[in-house]
Amino acid sequence: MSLTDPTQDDARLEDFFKQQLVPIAEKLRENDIQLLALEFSDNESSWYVPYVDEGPEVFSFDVDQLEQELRDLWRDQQDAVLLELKKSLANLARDLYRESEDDDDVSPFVYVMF
Amino acid sequence: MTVHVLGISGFYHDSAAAIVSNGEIVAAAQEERFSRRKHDPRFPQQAINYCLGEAFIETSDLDAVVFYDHPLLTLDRVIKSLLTVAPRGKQQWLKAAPSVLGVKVHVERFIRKVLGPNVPVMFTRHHLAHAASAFYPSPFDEAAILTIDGVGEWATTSIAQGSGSEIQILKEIRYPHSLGLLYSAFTYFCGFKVNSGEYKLMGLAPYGEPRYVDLIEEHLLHRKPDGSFRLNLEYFGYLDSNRMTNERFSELFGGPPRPAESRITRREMDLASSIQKVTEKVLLGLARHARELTGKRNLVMAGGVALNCVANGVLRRKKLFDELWIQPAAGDAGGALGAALVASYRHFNVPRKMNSRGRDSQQGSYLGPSFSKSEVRAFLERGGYPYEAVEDSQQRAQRIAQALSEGKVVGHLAGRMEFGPRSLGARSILGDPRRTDTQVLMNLKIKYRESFRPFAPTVLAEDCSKYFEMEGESPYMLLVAPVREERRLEMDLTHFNQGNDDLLEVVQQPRSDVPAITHVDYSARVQTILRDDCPAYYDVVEAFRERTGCSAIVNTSFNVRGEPIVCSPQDAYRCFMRTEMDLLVLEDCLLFKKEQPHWEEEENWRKRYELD
Repeated sequence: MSLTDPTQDDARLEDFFKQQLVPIAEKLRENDIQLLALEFSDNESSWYVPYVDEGPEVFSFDVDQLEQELRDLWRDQQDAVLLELKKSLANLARDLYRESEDDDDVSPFVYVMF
Repeated sequence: MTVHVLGISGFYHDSAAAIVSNGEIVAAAQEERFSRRKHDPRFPQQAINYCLGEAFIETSDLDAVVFYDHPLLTLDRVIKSLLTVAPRGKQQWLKAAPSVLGVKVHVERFIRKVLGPNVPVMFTRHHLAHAASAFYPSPFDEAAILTIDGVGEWATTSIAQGSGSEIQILKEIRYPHSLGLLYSAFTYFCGFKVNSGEYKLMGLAPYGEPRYVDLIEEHLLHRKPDGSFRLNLEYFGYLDSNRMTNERFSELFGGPPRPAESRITRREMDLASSIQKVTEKVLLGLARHARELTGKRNLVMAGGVALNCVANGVLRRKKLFDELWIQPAAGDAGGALGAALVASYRHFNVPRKMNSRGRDSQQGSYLGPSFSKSEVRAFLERGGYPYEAVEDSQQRAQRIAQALSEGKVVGHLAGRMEFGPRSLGARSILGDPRRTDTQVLMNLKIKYRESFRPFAPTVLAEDCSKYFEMEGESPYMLLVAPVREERRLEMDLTHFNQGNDDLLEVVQQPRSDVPAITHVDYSARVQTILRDDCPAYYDVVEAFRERTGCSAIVNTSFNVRGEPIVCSPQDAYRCFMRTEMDLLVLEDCLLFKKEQPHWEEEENWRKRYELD
């Protein structure tokens, strides 16, 4: 169960989507910044991406440090516009925490979101 | 001092736990086997309890609990995906956010709640966990590593190399370009369930012609000469909707997706055949590049796509590598094992454990619970279920072989349960491969599943080449090989080729002298067995050979459609009584259906298992 009212959670998530994600998405489009490589055909010789060593193979992750973790992840120039989301996401994570999981099956069609 | 590491996967699909002590795999199991909910994604509490019990340790003895995925990078991908498509994608966000933000980033809390506040909790990366699950248990000191799945954090394909205790990831293909998602899109479009119906699509492929390959390569997938690829996202729905494919995809293939459970038409057969061929081409391209990049002579693989045993068979026959080893729990469940191994070898610096006899360290993948003879008998006595105890294993094998040779279908529970999606004799339903009616009987009256689906053989390793065009072993049923030419029988496909789509008419034709395990393209998904792997099971196949001259038997998973494979004697008895199986073997006890008391259940059990 979520520690908060699920209908309120939905409303908050919808607000976050409309008021924070959508404006940033528009800003990214205006500035021609692509966060996903969607091109189907180009002149590059390879579509492999060299593996970037992102630190130790085994590490800790503390959700209480989520805002800091997102800041560290997004502070490079390309992702800097995302930084304004970090506090809201950390707050959502804090408030949406459930003490037990839903019994519902995850729709297989949205599993790329997990 | 022993280093105990518990690996965990879950919160999306097929949660599992594995325990590794001083680098040795002690136990591994999927949560679904205990919870009896297929592909159970929930925190694997029961699997963890089993693993700790098998290792004879308390939570306080654990040096680390390691989760197989990095929640931060997954959140990063989810947010960037949404920012790419917003204002579309709102429904995806509303569906996913409570799980991603409410559960997945809180993994540490879940673990501490169950295992105690002081247990050390760590994380690793998804594809590194897959790579570790493939390389460390393999029999190779050095190998190229290929991991291919739907998506894990950002990666969908990784090429790596392993040497001793080191794994070095070299290159990736990143989301949204994914061979796993491409295959799943066709699974969905052909009316099967994503994440479980992929096997059906692979089984359907031999009925069709690959007439859509050019269309797929022209519109959906673009490959470079080095094997790398991208998808044309204009045809897929998974970025911005709750569907895998979109209208454009439907237009390309002549109409909307096939509704689930409706009649399968020639289009679905041809689509299945086409995407299978494309998958094989992509896999070969990736493997070729892995060989060039690493210079290694052996290849190991994991990730859900590595369960495509038809493609694996093609890869092996191409001989790009000297040897090929595939993690039998190649999907997300195996990530639990990989996570535990990464931490053991890379964090705690435990020396790598390799099998001294040159075999792998997966122990036949018999890593799950077993039940003692006294436990089995106590269960049978308590229930008042008539049984006959046959303590002599050779005699028991003879009795089972006799039943099989008389056309009886046998449920077989012996020793430790398998880890991974394939039954390898410990939790299997067995049949006579020589009979033409076995496939239809077992599909419709035992498994309650689609009649077109093929069955796989277990063959004595020493006799494998008498039946199949295959060199070497295939202990985990992950390789498809052609049935030998001299065993094949010509099929009359006149009706089928004239447009009659009745698959049953094709299935019922004898295709070889072992028709029940010969698919319509004269292929078979082979499991070879050595006596060391599972003595009780080997003895059954050997006794069948002695009685009939045939060294192979039908081996299918011990469950009905939509049900997780059985774990306990209770599960096995229940499944036995719900189906038309004739004989149940629970360790050394034989139970004959005709002697069992009337079986009645209050609920309709078929409603309990959602069709897969």
